[in-house]
Order: sequence, then C-alpha cells, then structure tokens
Amino acid sequence: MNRLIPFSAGCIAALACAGAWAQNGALSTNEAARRANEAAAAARTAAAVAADRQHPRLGGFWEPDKAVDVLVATDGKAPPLTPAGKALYNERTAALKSNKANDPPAACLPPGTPRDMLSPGPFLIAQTPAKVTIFHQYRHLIRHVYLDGPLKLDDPDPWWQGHFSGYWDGDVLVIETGGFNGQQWLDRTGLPQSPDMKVVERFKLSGQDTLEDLITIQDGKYYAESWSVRLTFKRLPENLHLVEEECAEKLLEFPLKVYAPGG
Amino acid sequence: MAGALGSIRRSRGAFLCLGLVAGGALIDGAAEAQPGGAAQAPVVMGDAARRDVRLGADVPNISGVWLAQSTNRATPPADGGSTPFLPWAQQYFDNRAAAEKAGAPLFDPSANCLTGGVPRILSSPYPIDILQTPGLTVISNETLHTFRLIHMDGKPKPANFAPSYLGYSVGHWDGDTLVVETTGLNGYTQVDEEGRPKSSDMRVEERYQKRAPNVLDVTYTLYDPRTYSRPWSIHASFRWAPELRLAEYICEENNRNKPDATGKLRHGSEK
Repeated sequence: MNRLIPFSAGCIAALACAGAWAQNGALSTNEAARRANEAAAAARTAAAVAADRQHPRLGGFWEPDKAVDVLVATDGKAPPLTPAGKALYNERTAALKSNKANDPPAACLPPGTPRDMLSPGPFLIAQTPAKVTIFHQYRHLIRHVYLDGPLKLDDPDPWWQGHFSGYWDGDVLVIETGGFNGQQWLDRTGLPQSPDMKVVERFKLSGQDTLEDLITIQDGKYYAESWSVRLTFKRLPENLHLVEEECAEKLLEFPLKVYAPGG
Repeated sequence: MAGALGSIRRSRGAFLCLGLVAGGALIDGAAEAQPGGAAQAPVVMGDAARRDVRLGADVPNISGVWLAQSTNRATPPADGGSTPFLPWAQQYFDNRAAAEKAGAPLFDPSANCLTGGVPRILSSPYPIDILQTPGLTVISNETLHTFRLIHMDGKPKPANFAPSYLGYSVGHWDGDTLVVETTGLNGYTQVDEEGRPKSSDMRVEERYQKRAPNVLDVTYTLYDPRTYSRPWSIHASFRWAPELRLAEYICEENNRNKPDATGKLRHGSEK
C-alpha cells in the first residue's frame, strides 16, 4: 500500500508536467522545465505528507529497555565470523586484555552504525514525511535518514556512521546503511566490520510504548552469512531534554575553566 | 539551430516527468543531473514534507536545511556601534587580538572539537537543519553534529540544569516570528571567532523570521550584564537549501592543536 501512494504521486506529477508543457509553448524551455519541476515537487510533497499521516508514530523519546553492549545474534549462536573476521576479532580481544586496544569511541570517535543504537541514555526520533532523524544524547550523534530508500551507493565518501537511506515497508521503518570507513567496532568486544558492510534495520512499534530494532548485518568479508540482532526500547515522557555530552572535553590536557574568561 | 537545442531540452524535461511515473519512489533529488538548463534542477520535496505532520497549518513552517549567507569572524553590534565591553571583557578581547597578531593565538574551543555554543554557532559556515514537531523545534548543525532542542511547550529549565555550551532553550511564536530564549550557558566559549567573551549569566534571545519563502533572517540579542554594559544585537541570514543534506563532520579525526595551561596553542596559528 505504501508503494501505491508514491506511484499515484508520480501520475499526478506527470499530469502536472504535461499540463505545464501544453500551456507554455511560448515560454522558454528552461522556464517550462522549472515549472514542471515545481509541479512535480509539489505533487511528491503532498503525497509524502498524506502517506506519513498513515504511518505509525515512531517519533518521541526512547531509551534501551536494558543495557546491551555485547551483540547477541537472534538465533543465540555466535556471529558467523569468517577466518579473516576471526583473526581480526582475536587480535582485538588480545589487545583489550593487554589494555592496548584502539576502540574508536575511547578516542571520542563515532561508534558507527548500528553501534549507536547500543548507546546508553535516551534518544529522540523526529518523524517527518521526507526524513526520519535520530538524535542521541550519547555524544550528540545524529542520523539524518532521508526516506529515499532502498540505499543506492555510488562511490560514497567512507564515513564513520555510514550513509543512510530509509523507506516504509507497511508499518515498519526500514533504514539501510552502507559506505563505511571500516574502522568501527560493532560492539565493545571488537566484532569487526568492513567498508563494504551493509546494515538493514527494521524499526517497528511492538506495543504502544515499545520500539523494536531488528538489525541485520551483511558483510561477506568478515561474516560467512548475514546475521541479526534485536534491540528493544521503551518510550519516555514527551518533551524531555537531552543533556549535552562533550567527549572532546576529555581530550583537553587542562580543564576548560583554566582558559574560560567568564565561567 | 536554436530550435533543435530547444527540442533537446524539452525531451529532457519529458524524460524527467516519465522517470517520476516509472520510478514512483520517494526519492529526493530523483532526477539525473543533466548538463545545462533548468531541467537539471533536482526534484526536491517542499518544506511541508520536512516537519512533523501533526503540526497545525497555523504554525509557520521554517523546517528544512538552511545555509548561512554570511559567516563572520567578527560579529560586532548590528547597529554599527562599538561593542559595549565592560573593562575585563575589553582587556580579554585586546589580549586575544594581541596574541593573534603576534602569531601565538590563544585557546579556542572550536579548534579543539568543542562547539562554539550559543550564540557563536549561528555564524557557522556549514548547513543547519531545522525540524519542527508539536513540542520541539530542533536545530541541528553540520558543524560537530550538534543539535539544540528548543522547547515549544514552555517547559521551564530544570532546577538542576548544568550549564552547557548550547544551554537550555524555550521558544514561542510571536506572529510569524519564532522567539527563542536561551539560558544555562557556560562561559567557556566566545560570541565569535574574534573573541568577544561571554559569561555564564548570558541570556540570548533569537528571533527567526522568513523574509521570503527561501530566506530566513535571524536577529539575536545578547543580555550579559557581567560582560557588556548594555544588550546588543547581531544579524544573520540563511537561504533555504533543500538540495543539501548535512554531511558527516568528525573533528576528532584531526584533533591536534592542544593548548598549554596558559591557553597558548602548541602549534601557533595552525588550526
């Protein structure tokens, strides 16, 4: 059903384009194209607003229903590491034991996706027709997820959090993420991810006040097959405030008030 | 010749329309980039698609991505007067200017992956994203991926609120103008890159108003009797930039200019 509305928007846009074209024989072609573009954008906007009125409201404040910092697959088995994955994982396990590990968040670098969903503390989801945004209290991480999915990557800049693209599959918000730099750890134990990893998350309300995120990891370099993790979140009261967490303060060698004039 | 060129352009327009029908997906910027002519403009959704659908039509819409039209290293008073420094603030400002002139600039939070906070964030050159929900207006910055929650329901600042870079903001609509009051600021950052200081007593009032559908004006007034002898105002302007998306901005990948205990930067003027 969710595919039909955009499709009809396309039809409306086509009619608008055709109308603008017929009317404007005397106009410059640039002007005609501009008007057609505007008509198409207006039709898509109206269709997207109408569609979003039918979607579940994922917007609001949420927090993990229990702390999760080690990923456990939904089938209860260990993640299906390939030999290369196992080698890197073992290297990190050894480094952790000797206190020489380089887990990126320890240096205030981003945790990556989907590890951001393991962040302690609350987050805000803001839902709009064109974009769903996730604002984490944890180090003010933000995901701007445009609803233009499925994900299409064309030589993306490698990013810590990856490139996002979302779409609605019925009552489920699907967010696909790829285009990573490959330096992330999937959890604090050091489960690896390669730059080619693709993450598919399916967000749905599994109760009025419970949000479920079914995460599927696809990364042929480090995992023999795709595997999934399920996280759940509970709804918090409306209109909380999220506290600023400035990790970079920890990187200073002197407390800020040493330099602050008017603290 | 001109006719032939025109017909090529027209067929590009037709291709764009047909593509929308065939694709039928919610794609921002669906149109392929085409060389030359307005036909290359991407089909992007309007601002009605960029805020929570539960908001009433009576609430002015300022949602979407906006880009600063002027980014100023120095933000003296908009009325053309001189900055009304109190003596300590004048001395602080002069010291910074002298240190910079001598090639040894003093500590700046933004050179150390910390946000310039309110109000300096308003002079950032990178895009911002405004998003309206029934209870909140959220302004996020590409710079350092910070965001401000502006409480639109009048919820007062919690009694135990710890002073922060971006502070605590409440907002309300005064006709077509969004008025944002921010308190709870720490005094660790400056008002601008040039180094006008602020104290933790500073209160900032921002007034956001659309001058045209694609132009957002912001006038912000600083009330800080511990630093300035009178309130003073700064003006900024943004253009609607629906073709832009906020990019990843990870300062910590290149965090090298640490200050010593006097605030002097280890690497001179390098930032």
